[in-house]
Amino acid sequence: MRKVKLRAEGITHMYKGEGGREIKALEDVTLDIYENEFVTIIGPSGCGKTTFLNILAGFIKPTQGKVFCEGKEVTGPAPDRGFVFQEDAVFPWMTVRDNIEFGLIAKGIPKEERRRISNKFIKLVGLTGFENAWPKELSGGMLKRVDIARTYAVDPAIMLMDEPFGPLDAQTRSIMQEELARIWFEARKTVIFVTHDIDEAIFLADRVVIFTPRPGRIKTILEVNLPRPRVKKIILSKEFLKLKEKVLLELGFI
Amino acid sequence: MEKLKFKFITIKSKLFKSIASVSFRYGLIGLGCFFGIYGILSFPLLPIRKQLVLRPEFLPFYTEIIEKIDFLIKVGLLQKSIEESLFRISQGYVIGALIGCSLGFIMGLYRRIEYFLDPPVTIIRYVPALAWVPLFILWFGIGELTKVLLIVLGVMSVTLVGAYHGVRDIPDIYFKAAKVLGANTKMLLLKVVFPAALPQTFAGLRLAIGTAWMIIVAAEIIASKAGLGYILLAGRNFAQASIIFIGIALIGLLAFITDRIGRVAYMYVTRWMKRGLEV
Repeated sequence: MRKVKLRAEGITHMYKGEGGREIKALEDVTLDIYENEFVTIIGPSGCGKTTFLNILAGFIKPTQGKVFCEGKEVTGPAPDRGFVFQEDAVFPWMTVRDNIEFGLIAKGIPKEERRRISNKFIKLVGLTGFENAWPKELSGGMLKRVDIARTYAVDPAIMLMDEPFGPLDAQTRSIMQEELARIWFEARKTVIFVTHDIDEAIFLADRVVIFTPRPGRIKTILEVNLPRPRVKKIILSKEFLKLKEKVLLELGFI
Repeated sequence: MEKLKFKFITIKSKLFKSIASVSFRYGLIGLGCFFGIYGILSFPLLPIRKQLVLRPEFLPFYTEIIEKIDFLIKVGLLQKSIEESLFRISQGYVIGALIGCSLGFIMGLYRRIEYFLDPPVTIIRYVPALAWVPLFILWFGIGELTKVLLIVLGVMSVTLVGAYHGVRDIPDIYFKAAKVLGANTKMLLLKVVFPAALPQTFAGLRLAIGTAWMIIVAAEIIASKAGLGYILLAGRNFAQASIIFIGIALIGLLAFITDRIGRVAYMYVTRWMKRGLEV
């Protein structure tokens, strides 16, 4: 039996929409995430998948239900749940290295150890040579690498990723998907990754969680048993296409 | 591909340097033209001088001005005036900036303090610093204290706005990111709020240099025994346009130098910012 890293229990969330109308974003979502598992969440836009991720991170308090991270109830954002944002959240006033060491300073790790860890993750995400660059000198894809390395460096129990490649152009996005698959293969982590891109969801995942339209509920969970390490070519394989067909059917596209 | 982009950026920064030197050359030519035109208009043998109002008492030629500079140096008034004005300005500027930036930061950070302080601070801010002159003279006399306090007030008003917006306008995403990375309050202040607020704070600090010069000259014209404002006043009292011109030129020069220092400081603290390239 695999260890449960994160448990969402009966999450229901309401919020006040236009004109004070109560809108139900999520309804009774219960989900267990196992250790070192890569879970992607996909669903039609407005299905509450980003809200769900924000609840897991502790940015939003759910109307009903509880989140447990390693058995402890979540009450707010904390470094045991790393977050990679859709927007560019890399601190522009810090160099690449200082960004990656930020969370390590917060943890109180001494300087030499910090240097060792940041070097390791700079290398892992392929930013060697850019340690002292300012974020303004980096492309969108490289900024995402910094954000991923920064989150990895803190060594959180779980990493939450909110459509991190959404703002990137198609080509960079494809490169980054492959890169994330490689990084994850080299340094396993428990990851929940929200996306609206079907290829991305299947390509990265061990399990794909499909949400219904609002109010978001879990419709289906698909196991993805494609071999790892994964390279982009895999999206043309028969197994991949079969999974894609299933997802498209579940989402009601075909 | 990404490496290529990085190279492109270094080329861009080289380009920026060359544009900076072009701006320097253009600036020099502009300055030359300005002084050249003045030279021609004030030239003693210019035939149309008499028909126009270009009387030598009003528009002294350079020889006359240099003579007067020599005189001012000999009696020691020039050095003393620069020294005194700079001393007053730096005192008032430092105190005003400290108060203004601290108040701005605190108001930017804490909503309740902002709501509480905003009305009185805004009222004080919008009353022109020089409107306090009569009251300050009544309270503190016409000595140093009044002049320095006027600068303090003016500098405080300008720097407060910069510091406040510097803090208030920090995008929420950076606070969120800092929190999930485990930052405590101290780290949040020192590594996020403070550096993120620096650009606007320094823009305010640079603007305040101009405010300080404006106030010091006005304050010195009202009452002083030395200072750049005093030179202007002396020039008027003795009907010597050349001395007034010397005063104006000195103020312009010193204000320019201090502004450049402010600009260098601003460029340094914002060196991480993405800037558009001037064409």
